[in-house]
Amino acid sequence: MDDLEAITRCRAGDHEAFRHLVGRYQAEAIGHACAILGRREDAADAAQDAFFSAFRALDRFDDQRRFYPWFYTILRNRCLSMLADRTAHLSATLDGIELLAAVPGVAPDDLLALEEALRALSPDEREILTLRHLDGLSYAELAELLAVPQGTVMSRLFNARKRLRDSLGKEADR
Amino acid sequence: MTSEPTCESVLIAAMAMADGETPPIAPELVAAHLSGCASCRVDASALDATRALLDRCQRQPASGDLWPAVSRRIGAGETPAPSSDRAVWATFLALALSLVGARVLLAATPDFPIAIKLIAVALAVATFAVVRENPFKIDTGLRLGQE
Repeated sequence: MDDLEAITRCRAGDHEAFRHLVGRYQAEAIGHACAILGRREDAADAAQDAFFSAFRALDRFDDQRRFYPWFYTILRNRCLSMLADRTAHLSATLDGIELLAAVPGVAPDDLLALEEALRALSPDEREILTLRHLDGLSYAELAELLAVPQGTVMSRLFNARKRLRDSLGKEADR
Repeated sequence: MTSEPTCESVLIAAMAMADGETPPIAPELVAAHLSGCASCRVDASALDATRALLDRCQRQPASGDLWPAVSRRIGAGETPAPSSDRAVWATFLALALSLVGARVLLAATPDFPIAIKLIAVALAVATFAVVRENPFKIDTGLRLGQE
């Protein structure tokens, strides 16, 4: 079953068809929410909320679009609203590695330093860096997902990388 | 006449080239600027090292299945919400009708006791109750619809 068929079936009352969309995109959604929120547990909550909101908004989905970029806007709004509501709680509970996986060729200390440096960035900066580097999205794909022109993608990515470099420098100085 | 690109625009273009994307300014201009600007060479190299480090990393895989929880919530809410546009129009139409009705009633009965005039207010309140919607609340669903 493809996404559009699942959406059409959901609209016709077959709620079970929504399982296809949740199953297909949940890992991606949690990963992306984690990049914004910085914490996996919150990311799962945000993704769950976003899937439910998306289900309720399926009537308004434009069939010409791809599902995930549309869903991502819902997910992103949900994450930002969680951040606005619970900034104190979120920042107080951040510790350990939540975003990055251990990979051969990157020392654990470097990984921890990078995670710390990423965490020191703003949610927007963390979001664009992880979408680009961990998901390998092109500038055109980033522009579609973030709903901004490619020029904006470039300047945001540049500023985020610069901030990360500075943040890594501070980590190294500690 | 072509103006000299700024250091930042050169660094952005160098980043795009390293990412395999089309730079916003010509590669020859980038190369020419970098060859004559030591500060930009240092910055470009540091940014490239950051890019290389990030490119070696992977996202922590997500575990768990969200479907049981989403499914429960869908079951509790039953069906997808009706079209937001229709709901909003129905709300405002009902409100407008009740306000017009109230105005007509008030105009037609200038000397009636206050209890009668309260019927108009009751009409408006009833509208809120019938449509189960406060038309003055901020509707976040509308924002989703535009996105």
